[in-house]
Amino acid sequence: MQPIREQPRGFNLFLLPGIKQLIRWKYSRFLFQLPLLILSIFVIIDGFTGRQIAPRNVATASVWLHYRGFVVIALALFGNAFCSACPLMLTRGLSNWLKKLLPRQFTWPKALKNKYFVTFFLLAYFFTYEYFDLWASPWLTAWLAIGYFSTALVIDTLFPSGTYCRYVCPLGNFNFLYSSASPSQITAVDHDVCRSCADKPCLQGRYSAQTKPTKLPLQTNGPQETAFIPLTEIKNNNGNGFFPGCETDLFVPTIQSNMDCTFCFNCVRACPYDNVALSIRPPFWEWLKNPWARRGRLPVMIMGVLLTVYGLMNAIAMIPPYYSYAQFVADSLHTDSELLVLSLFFLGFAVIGLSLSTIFAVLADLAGGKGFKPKIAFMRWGYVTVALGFGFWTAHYLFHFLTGALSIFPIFEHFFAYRGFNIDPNWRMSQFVPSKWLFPLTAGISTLYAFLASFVAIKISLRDFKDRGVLAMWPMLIYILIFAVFGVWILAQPMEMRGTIFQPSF
Amino acid sequence: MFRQIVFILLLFTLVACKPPEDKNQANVTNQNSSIKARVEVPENPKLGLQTLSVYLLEDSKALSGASIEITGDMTHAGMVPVIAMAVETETGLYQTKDFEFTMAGDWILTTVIKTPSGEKITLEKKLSVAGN
Repeated sequence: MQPIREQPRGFNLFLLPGIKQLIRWKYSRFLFQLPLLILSIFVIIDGFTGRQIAPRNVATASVWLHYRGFVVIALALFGNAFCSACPLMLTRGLSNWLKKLLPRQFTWPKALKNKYFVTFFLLAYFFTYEYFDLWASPWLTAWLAIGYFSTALVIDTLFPSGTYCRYVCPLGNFNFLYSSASPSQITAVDHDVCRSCADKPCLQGRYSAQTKPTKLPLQTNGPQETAFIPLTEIKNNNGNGFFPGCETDLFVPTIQSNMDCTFCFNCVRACPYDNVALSIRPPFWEWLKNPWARRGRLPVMIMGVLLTVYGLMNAIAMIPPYYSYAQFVADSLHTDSELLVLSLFFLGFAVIGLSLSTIFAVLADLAGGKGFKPKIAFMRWGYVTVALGFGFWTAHYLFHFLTGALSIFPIFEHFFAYRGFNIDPNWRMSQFVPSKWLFPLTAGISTLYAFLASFVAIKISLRDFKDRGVLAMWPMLIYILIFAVFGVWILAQPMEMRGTIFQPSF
Repeated sequence: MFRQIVFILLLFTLVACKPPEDKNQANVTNQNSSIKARVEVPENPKLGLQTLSVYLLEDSKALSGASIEITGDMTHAGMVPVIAMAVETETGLYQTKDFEFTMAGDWILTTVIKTPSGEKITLEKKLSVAGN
């Protein structure tokens, strides 16, 4: 267990009227999950049985437009709300029942207990998205939803709860990574309370009742029976029974990063001393504390840089120069295999992205007099790339969201009209803001995060290089400028929404 | 054991799921209908204003007085649809004046025809629009 560390001390959001009572209520998470569960049902029904036109189907519109838009808005303005409301975890009841049928609980292989596997999974997910034009296919999107539910069920049946979230889920790990940009974080109200806490219920769970039962459930992250804490010792009693601890193995007073925090608030419910806060913090707070050097380490940073790179590629794949260049590559190789060309693009982007971020990081270290240590430099400055990546993903997803947010109304009207109800959807309802606002807004967001990345680079250089910091920061500032200009150039291009390089999406 | 078998069988039924044949996926109307309609777009459509034509016949005779709305959607959800009315330029021929392909890429045209007798017909046509 890591030592207790400095944590943000901003306003505790749980102090807002009614919030603490709601979060500590045993079934609060189910309440949060219910809307997305209902949406998932619509996604699967309309994806399989609805009209197979992406802009008119609940599956494609809600998943590829609204969900992604709300994800980045929530991450930027609040925190990891979508893991908190994730309906995949509602398979937990069934997985707990299925666990009883297994001869034993398996352990997640040690070789996979890092972010390399899930980074590969994320890249496979992005590749699948491009190769199969998932955004244009309601029925494949419905299959994707079923795939998520099934995988969560299988993984959390065979392995300890939380394995899926931490090591497998691409959506969750996207959220984990970019919740580093969020302005809120779980913290301990009083660290001294945590120091004197023997059972660590926020981590291991607790069982509370008037009298101790003969058999107690197992700890959330350990092999022993969970602690029994009588109701008389609970501050602000929130009910009887078992309260699980953190399934992703986070101990509240040591948290300096939102990485792996699903905002499930198990810790809030399990803490017998009501000592858990959701503190407001500056959005750059985490990037300046270098928390991934202690948890996740190199694989997390590689995931961060690759996500930034694929953020760019995801947008580039929608503009005309991409199609021209892809055609040029295909002609040069005398191939019409999209699989080959797309694979080369993915590989090329990964190599260029990782190389550039490492080269500029090493140059910054050299300018600051630290010597040639690529891994250390990459870990030190990687947060700058993560900040840039979040800005660009947000700009891209918001472009689509603002273009079509209101279409959710005619799309749901169409869901019922398609099934015989006498409703006439108003398809003119689509845009949230006028078209002419889109470029200034998206370029503005991307630029704003470039400024934030610059601030992070300056703070890191002054922190780690003292007097030579004014020299160390310059390679990174040049890197940020190149990224920002390239990003704005992409956003300024006219969109071309073709299915694939060589053939349409239908 | 029975419950486990039922669960596995339910999983197998999921594997059978595939997209339905779209009710509207045709460029001409049903052979059994007395009304025949055909949507025509220029060969190699390009960005910008394009004239789309709809030919309408009832019992092999040009049908006048129909109301026709054409909606163009991109294959990506959320792109602003282009909606235009096709007006009758000669008996049985309806054309758009203000339909604009606003973006290069893959488009789906949905044509909704309301005949004078109140019949509603929906047609669908997919096409790719080249960039400039």
